[in-house]
Amino acid sequence: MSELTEEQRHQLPEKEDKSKYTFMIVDDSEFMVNNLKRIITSFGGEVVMTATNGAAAVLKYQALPVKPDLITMDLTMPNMGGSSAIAMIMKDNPHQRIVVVSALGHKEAIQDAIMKGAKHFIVKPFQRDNVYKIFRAVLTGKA
Amino acid sequence: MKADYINPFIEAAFYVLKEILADEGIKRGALELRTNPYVSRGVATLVGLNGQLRGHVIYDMSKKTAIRIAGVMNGEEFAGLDNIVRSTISELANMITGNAATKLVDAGYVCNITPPTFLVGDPAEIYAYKEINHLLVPFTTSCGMLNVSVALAPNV
Repeated sequence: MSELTEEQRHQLPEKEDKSKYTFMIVDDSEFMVNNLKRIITSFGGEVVMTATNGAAAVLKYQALPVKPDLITMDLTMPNMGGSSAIAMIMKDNPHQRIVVVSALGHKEAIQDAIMKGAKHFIVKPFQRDNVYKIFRAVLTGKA
Repeated sequence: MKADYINPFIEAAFYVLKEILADEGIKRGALELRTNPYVSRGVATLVGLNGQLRGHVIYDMSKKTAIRIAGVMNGEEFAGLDNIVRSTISELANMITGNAATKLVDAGYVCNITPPTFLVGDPAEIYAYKEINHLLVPFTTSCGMLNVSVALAPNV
């Protein structure tokens, strides 16, 4: 049996300095934060920060001395939704990679998020394979 | 209530439940009309809608079913309605409502959804705004019954 490719093993590549890709998860659901944490860890990534609403996400992001390689952002949250949080974070750092992970997937929501600077959009419930493909593409700059 | 409003919820519930429970045996029963108050005898997760359509949808199930569903979704067994179970069922409600809202918006009913509210009560009486009736869609799953009850009206 031939060796499984990186893609097949669903393992993110290492960064140039051999460290793991770092993630920040923003979602008001504790279940979803845990779920994404499990998935990201299984991909070989490291979750360095979480937040349960947009306002907290912006504050926590600004306080991080080293920014995460990728932020997953929910849209429907109390105390500032994902759309506004994306705008504020991108204003702070135009190079920040953000992927929306939301139950709302209509055209306008997607267009709004992409226009505000999100690199991709994942609709819940998601397939693990699909999440891996998107994370990999965004992190390696192929999105 | 128009079929236009309820069909997206039926489709969304089927889709989400099949995905997250990995259950091909999800069935739905006949629709029932419930006049106010809507009475829940276990766990009721409520998600609001606003915009061209206004109201809410209630995801109603027994405590046992909630615990079972949370067990499947987290890959572990729970003893009671702890914060993870509440959060998991709230997210289930969010996913079904979000998927339904996407269909509603695509059909021309521009609306937005609120974060979920989790109610526990036996009985719990829930009154929809303007006392609009609930249309209940009963779903049978491997974890037990789940009622999706929609109370929506055009925002005039």
